[in-house]
Order: sequence, then C-alpha cells, then structure tokens
Amino acid sequence: MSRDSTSPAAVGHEAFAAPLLAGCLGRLEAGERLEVLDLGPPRAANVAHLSRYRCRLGIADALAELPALAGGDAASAAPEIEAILPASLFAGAQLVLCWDVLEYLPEQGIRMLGNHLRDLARPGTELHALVAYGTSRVATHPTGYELVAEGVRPAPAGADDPGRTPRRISSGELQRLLPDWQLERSVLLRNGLQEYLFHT
Amino acid sequence: MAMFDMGRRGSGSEHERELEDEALSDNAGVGPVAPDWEAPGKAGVRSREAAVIGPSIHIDGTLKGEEDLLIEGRVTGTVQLREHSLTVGSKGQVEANVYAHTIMVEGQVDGDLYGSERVGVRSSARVRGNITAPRVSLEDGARFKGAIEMDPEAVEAALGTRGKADAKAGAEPGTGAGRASTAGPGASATGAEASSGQASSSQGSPSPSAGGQSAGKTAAGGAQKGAKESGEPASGGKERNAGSGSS
Repeated sequence: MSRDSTSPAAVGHEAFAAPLLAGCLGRLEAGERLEVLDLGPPRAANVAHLSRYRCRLGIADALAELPALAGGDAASAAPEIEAILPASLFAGAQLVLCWDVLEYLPEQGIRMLGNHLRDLARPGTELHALVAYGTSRVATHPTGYELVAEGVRPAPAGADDPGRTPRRISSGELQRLLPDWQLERSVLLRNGLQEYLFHT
Repeated sequence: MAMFDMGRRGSGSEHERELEDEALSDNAGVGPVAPDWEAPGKAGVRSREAAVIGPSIHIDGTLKGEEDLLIEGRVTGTVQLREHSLTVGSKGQVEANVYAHTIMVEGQVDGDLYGSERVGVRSSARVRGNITAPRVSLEDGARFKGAIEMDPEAVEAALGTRGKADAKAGAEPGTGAGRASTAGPGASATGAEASSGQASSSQGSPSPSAGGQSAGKTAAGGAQKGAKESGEPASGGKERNAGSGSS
C-alpha cells in the first residue's frame, strides 16, 4: 500500500486507510445520523458506501470551480463562492470532506474557502482534509477521492496526465490559513498524503 | 398553470408493479446504477409501454399521470407520476420537482427528485437539486450538485410514507423500511386532482401503433417522430399546453 514518495505516481490509485476519517464515519456504524458535505464530484462509490447508513450526503462538485474562483479578491469572490457552496447545500453538515482541494488553491483561496465554510458551519462541525504533502506528483487538476471499504481511494486522473508538483502545505501553514478552524489532529499517511481533522 | 393528466394504461396494474419491484430489488442496493434498470423499451424490467414526451415538446405546468413516462423534451413546473416511473432521457430537460415511484435521469434536471422507491442518475445526467429516495444510485461521470437524503427515517418523513412503511414492515417480516414505501408523495401534493384516470389515455399516450414499439425506439427515432407522438396530448383534447413546441 505504501509507495515511494519520490515516485511520480506517489498518489496512485490504491486505496488507503484514513484513520481520522474512519473515526468520523464510525458514528454511522453506531447508527447515528450524519450529514456530510463532499466538496468533490459525485462518485458512485461514495453514494454506495454511505447509503448503507443514516446519512444525508451533500455533493458540491466544486473541485473545478474553486481554483478558478481563487484569483479574485475576497469581496468580489463572495457571491461566487456562495453560488458554488450555497447555504442550502451545506444545510446542517456535520462533516465536510475537503479532499483534493487545498493543494490546488492559493493562500487567498484557502482563506476564502475556510471563512465561507466557517460561516455556514455550526458548533462541532468537522472538516476532514486530505492534502498531498509528502508526494512528488499530483494530478494536474483535482480528481477527488472515493470511499471504499479499505478507506479512501484516489479517483484516477487521465492516463496521459503528466501531473504536477504539489504545493506542499505544512500543518502550521494550514492552521494559519484556516484560523477559524481548530486543528484536532493530523496524520501523515504512508502514501505521502497528510490527513487533517479540523472542527469549529 | 397548465396541468396535464395522463391516463392510466392497462399495463400499470398493482400486480405488475409488484413484479417489477421484485425485479428491481434484486440489485437494490446502492451503488452504481444497477444493470437491471433499462430505459423504457430496452430489454429489462422497464420494457413495458411508456408515454413519451418528444424532443420538440415543451410543457410548462403540472404534469400528472398514471403510467410510465419518458421525457425527451422540456418540462417546466412539476411532474407527479405517483406510483409510476419517470425516465428523463438523454435529450430531456426538466426544470421541475419530480414525484414518482422510480426516477431515472439520463438528461438534465434542475429540481428536486422524490422517488418513493428509487432514483438513479446515469453518467450522462446533469442534475442540480436534491434527491430523496429509499434507494439512490449514481454513475461516475454524472454531474450532480445537491444533496442525497439516504436516511430511511428522513426519507419516509419527506415522502409521507412513514406509517405505510411501518405497517408494511409489520405485515411482511423482513421487509426493511427502505423497501416498504410504495405510495408517492404526489398524493398529498396533488390532492383531489389525482382523479385523472380518465384524462386521456389515447391522448396522453402514444398511439396504439406507437405503443406497440418500444419507447426506447420511439425516443431514438428522432425529433420528428417523437414530436408527432408526444405532441398529440399536448395539442389536443382536454389538456392545456401553456408552453409551446420549441420547434
């Protein structure tokens, strides 16, 4: 399961365990209702996985829109980010899946996203992030991840995608960019991804 | 607002519905769209006749019916098929909240989908809205922005099937709540206007000759044919068409 982090395919397509996520989803196994907002695209595997439980799954399909938005200033971007992530979609989300997003955003974009999500969140809302940190290559454009029995699996990029060097965001830098979110825990996974769990 | 009532077809018996439910339940779970689901006219459980709204038809208003329906045209307003299935074909554009027994989307929908049994979103679909159904399947490649309610209790509450599900679960041991709902929410939404059985099966349905062929073929037969067949209920008889054909 582990890969050489210097390999161009460091973030491959293999499933990997994400212990912090497993902890969050464990509540579903216990029969609790959970409202989840996935910032990524719709995935059959995610729907299949979560529909076994008492779950409301919001799908923002925002991976392509968020990087484009990040070029503007905060004031002009506010209506746009509201359109991308409307309050109606967020609803009462208790868990936000922020996968394959942050390494594609500039600092300002991460701030705007964090602030917007914080405005929509309620006390106790958790933000789960997967960020390429110890990897040498990521897909040129974000592709997202999908839930599988083993944990999480990267969605495949195009076969001819040369990939690109990820913008390595350290834990400290991420905390600085998300001041309204408290870092609960982070784990560097064997495949070079850093798993984060924040909460409001 | 215009309202369309589609007449009941002989193929929509309760017995047949139960048989179809059994067939659907084989792959009921969840996950990628089960291979048992076929568009009307193709081999599969949805091979029975379905009315077709052809590509050139635009309906603006409340569309109600008591038979299966394939939309390849444009519908704006509300769609209430209660205990029947709706397929939004690859050319279909629906800007409406949809209430049906089963809903399959291959085209474009902007609105909320309420399936008392199941909602499926195919890879070619573009959906913006929320889905509420006991069983939801979605194919990779589909565009979807919205929320999927999968909590059986919340689904039953939203569909108004809570009591019925409980009763059925009690009467049929082993029947899960998620499988129990059979009544569409259209009942409460439509009120007295549900008495549409006599509306116009000949008007609201493809002609007998068209009915003899698969709806899938009808849909694939091109805009002209689809317009001719599905244009009949829109232009004639008791029904009113607030919109107009777009071509």
